[in-house]
Amino acid sequence: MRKFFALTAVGIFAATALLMVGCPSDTGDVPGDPKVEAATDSTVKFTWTAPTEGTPDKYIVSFMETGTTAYVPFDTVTTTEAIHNPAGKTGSYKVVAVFGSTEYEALTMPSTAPVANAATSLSELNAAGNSGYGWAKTAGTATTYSLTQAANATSVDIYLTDFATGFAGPEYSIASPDIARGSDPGATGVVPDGAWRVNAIAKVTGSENSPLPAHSTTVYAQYQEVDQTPFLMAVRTADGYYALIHLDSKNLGSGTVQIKSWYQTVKGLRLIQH
Amino acid sequence: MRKLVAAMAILAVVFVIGCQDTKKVTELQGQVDKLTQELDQAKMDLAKKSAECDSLAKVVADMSAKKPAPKGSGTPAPTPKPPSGKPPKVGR
Repeated sequence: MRKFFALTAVGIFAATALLMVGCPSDTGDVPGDPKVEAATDSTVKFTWTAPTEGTPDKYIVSFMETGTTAYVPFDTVTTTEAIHNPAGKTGSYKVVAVFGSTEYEALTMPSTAPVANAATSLSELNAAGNSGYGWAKTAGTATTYSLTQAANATSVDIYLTDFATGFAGPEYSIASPDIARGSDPGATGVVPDGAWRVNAIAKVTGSENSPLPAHSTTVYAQYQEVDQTPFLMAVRTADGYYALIHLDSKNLGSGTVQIKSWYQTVKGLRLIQH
Repeated sequence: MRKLVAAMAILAVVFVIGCQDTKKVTELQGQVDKLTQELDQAKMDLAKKSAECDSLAKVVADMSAKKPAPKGSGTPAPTPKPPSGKPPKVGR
């Protein structure tokens, strides 16, 4: 009986000690604050912070391409950053901290997939309806705006024009809003003075999932003609963000086109696969 | 009699002056004719030189067309002329 009590006491003591101290191999935590940014205009710098508890043996970083369902490891590092060349693809990034045989996965997976904005109607500058279109810089959501109000100057990234009074066209162009004042006959008496954005626009001749054209003054200009519909254009904003716009359903009677877009929220990255 | 002599003298003076003016006009007319001839000659020379220049330009154009493009460079695309109202396209 005394032996039983003694064994029980030893057992309770050992369990309490284990609870208080813990197994050395179990010390660890998840990596914190994973983020993506542009390493170049087509490669990604993936960073995070070290776990608050313990020092991991290594980090395994993985990439899940947009449209797929599995993460594929692309590197193992001991620092808190990794450079990835996604070969023109966008997707989500995951980091796992490895402590011995135990893995701690970061709680969030940042993504380079662009923000999709559904089709909406965009009007020619002199037609009824909003002719301006712009993206919220960090959220990537698009909104149409009127160019008749100076308060919208800092929100409009592009506008639709035929560079003439009226909206008969027949050729429409997508233009940077800064050229409306002074360069667009249709804007006279319509567009007020303001700090209109100075953006650059390029034609996209390849697939809508291919990387957008690299920024160059021989490719990007202050406007591009809508030669045909559907039509793809790349926009590079003055603050260095890229977006793809898709124009369709040009209607000279109402002076409208249908526009949808994909906006890359990672500054400077021209990957647009969606 | 004195009056008659005086009148004759005046007539003689007028006649001499008039003849001199006529002579001057004739000389000037001759100069004009000469300069007109020189101008016509110069026009003919100009036409001849222009024809030679056109001929040479055509030869140069033909030779340029036959010359192969340098490696790695394409023929530059012609800059489309913007229609009225549209500003010239500027890279940015």
